[in-house]
Amino acid sequence: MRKNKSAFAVYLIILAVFAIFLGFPVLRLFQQALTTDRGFDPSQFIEVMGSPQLRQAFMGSVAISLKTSILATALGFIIAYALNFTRLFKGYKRFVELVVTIPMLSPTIVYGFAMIYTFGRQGILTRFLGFQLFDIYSTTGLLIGFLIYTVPISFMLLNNSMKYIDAQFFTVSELMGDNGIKKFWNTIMIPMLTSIGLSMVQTFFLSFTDFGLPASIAANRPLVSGLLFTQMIGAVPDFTRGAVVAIAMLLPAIATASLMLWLRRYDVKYDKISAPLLKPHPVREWAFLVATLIPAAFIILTFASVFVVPFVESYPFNLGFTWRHFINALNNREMVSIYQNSLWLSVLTGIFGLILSFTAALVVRRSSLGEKWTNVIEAMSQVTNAIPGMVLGVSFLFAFTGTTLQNSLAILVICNVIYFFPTPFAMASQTLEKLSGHFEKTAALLGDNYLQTLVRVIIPNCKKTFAEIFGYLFIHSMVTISALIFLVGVRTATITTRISALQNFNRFDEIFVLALLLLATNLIAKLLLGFLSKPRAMKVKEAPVKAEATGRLMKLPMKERKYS
Amino acid sequence: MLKLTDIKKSFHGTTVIDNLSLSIEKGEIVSILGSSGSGKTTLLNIILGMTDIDSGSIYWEGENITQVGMKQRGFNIVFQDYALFPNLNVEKNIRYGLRNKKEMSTEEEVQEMIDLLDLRKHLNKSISQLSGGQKQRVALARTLVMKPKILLLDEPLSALDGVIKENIKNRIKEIVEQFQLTTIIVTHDPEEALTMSDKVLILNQGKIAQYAAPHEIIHEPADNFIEEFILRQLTIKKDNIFSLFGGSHA
Repeated sequence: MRKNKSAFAVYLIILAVFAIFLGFPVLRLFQQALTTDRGFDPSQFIEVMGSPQLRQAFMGSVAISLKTSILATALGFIIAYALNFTRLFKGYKRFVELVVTIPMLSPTIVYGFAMIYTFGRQGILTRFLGFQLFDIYSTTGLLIGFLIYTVPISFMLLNNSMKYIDAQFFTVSELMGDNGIKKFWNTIMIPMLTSIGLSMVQTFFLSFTDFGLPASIAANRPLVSGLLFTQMIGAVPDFTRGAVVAIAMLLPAIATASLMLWLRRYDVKYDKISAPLLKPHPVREWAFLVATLIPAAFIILTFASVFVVPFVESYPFNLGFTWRHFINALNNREMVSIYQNSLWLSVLTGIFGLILSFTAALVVRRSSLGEKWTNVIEAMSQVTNAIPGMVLGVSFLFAFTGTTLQNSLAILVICNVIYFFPTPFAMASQTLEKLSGHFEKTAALLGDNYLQTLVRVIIPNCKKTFAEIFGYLFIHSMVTISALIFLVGVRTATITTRISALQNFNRFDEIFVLALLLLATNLIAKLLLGFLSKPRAMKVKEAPVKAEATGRLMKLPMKERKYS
Repeated sequence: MLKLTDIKKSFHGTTVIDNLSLSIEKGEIVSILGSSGSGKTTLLNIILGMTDIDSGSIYWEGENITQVGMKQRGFNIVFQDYALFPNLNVEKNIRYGLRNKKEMSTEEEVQEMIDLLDLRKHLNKSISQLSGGQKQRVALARTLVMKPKILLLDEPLSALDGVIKENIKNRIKEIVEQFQLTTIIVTHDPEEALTMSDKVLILNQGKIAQYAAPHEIIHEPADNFIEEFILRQLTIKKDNIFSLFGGSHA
């Protein structure tokens, strides 16, 4: 009974955290949009909602997000297929997998600048080819940017499902005399339909709510995220209009999150990786080699500028090698402090996010509190999942301006912890669910109190997940911009928000130095955490991520989730 | 002696244990047998102290322990999934409880248990390296070094097969006899129950269908339920074997 009381106390604390840092800010957002000095007054809400400006931005966002979702899912599917159902060389498959996931370590705002320096009029590739492949400021340019952003996520999702397709399906289909198309449909497409749907909805959500790419290469294109930014931080800020735009952004986000939740019900759970026996097929191998080489090359070319520009005197005019930009950056106290801010923000988000998500998962999965209680935490996780970073940032701005939290590092950490909560919560839940349900009872019968069991048994068996959760939070905090853009102060600027600001002064050398620093930090963090979590990895049966990933739009392991 | 009188337990309005009374003598092996939903696991949890009862009383050696908590009762259990801690090796699992209650077993007794369960060569292994039978033995050793007043076994053989199953069955019987340990086994397999126990408690919808020695159940089944659902299973098994090999069993 005492244990139940402690669990309930912890449960109440978690609820309080969400009430203060999620419920209250969102309420303030609606209050801002629906009230004036005279009280409730929806006139401006109705006016903004019906305005041609918002309608145009909304339709623009929907159109580009739809195109992105279809193309990203198709490309993600092709790459996942190549990795799972061809006899391409293993080393090449690993290379493709690595390259395709590189963009996840970098903020979307960087892709935009990287694209300008690679595919722009003076871009590295344009100069090499002698002509421009496409106009980066066109719809095509923005679409390619969004594809670089979303294909990795689509690929990770589809690849995770595809490797769990039961190989016996192929034998049965073969024995039943299916022809090629029928076999493909029955053995691969049918088991993948839910994941394909999930990928489409997820990539739509990501491109619809992204701020980084519109900020870098579509400044004049009417998109909802750009409109929100202009309303809040533009030349003539209008917070009420901003609040209405944020609500307009929230509605499709809720719809897509609900759709994802519904789709996940149809996810089939498999518990082991199943490798089909493939006969050699040179045409297939060549076709998929080309089909994977093109996106991989595109990503490498795009990111090439991140590695080249910081080391040349003055791109594109003077291409001489130099360390000058790096030395200047390292000698610049402001730049160092920005880097330190990002590091602190990411480390603190990692620590506090881990504590909150793991504690919540413990209460939900390992306590004897009834479902009627624990479902509230699950529901909160799903609600958080549906809130775009920019909307949460704006809500925080309304809720905490004028408090001691304003312009502090703490507000950035709290915002990130809430924003990223669903995925670490799902990761912790998955791991805790896999532990024997009898650990606590057995340990109690062997004389443990609950805290002893937690320290001796539960936590040691979750070490790998701890590293994964911390890594997820660290990397995503390093690259996130949308949740923070409205909250950073002069002393709390982070790399991503600084990159956004530097573009206004055309200080691209510094942008690329910061981008490279960020990429290198994330790579080191990823390798380090991967190494730390490996040796003592618990031997639990691997379960498909897609199957367990319930609720959150991007309820995927650290490799798969990406925000900007 | 363990004595249960007029035990009642319901969940959300559904009666799971209905006015159940029984006595188990010290050192006896009793199997609780029944189909899914018959209430056997609930009864096990009630005896262990994991589940509170709605009414009735539980006595251990004359003392009313109805309100005594799980940890204080001094009973112990080996769960169906063994609940071995994967972060600890075999030896650390066995000694886990002794970190909290050193006085429960001397070093010689621990060593004796390790040998009795043939675990010496596995002491440094991690749990993931063990077979099902070895895991079962580690879980038994971990429980037995704590010298429980009653040993409860939840479906102890269900995860094992063939020779290992027989081996573990004999090992459990040997240990229980050697230590004169009151043992309660929950199972859904009539063969297991009838071959391992001094007495078998057959549950049907939360009520006792029969509580008797195995030979009595075989020769004098209390009612149709025992005949149809318990003994019939054994007959079918026997018939299948004879029909396969062409023998007769009349």
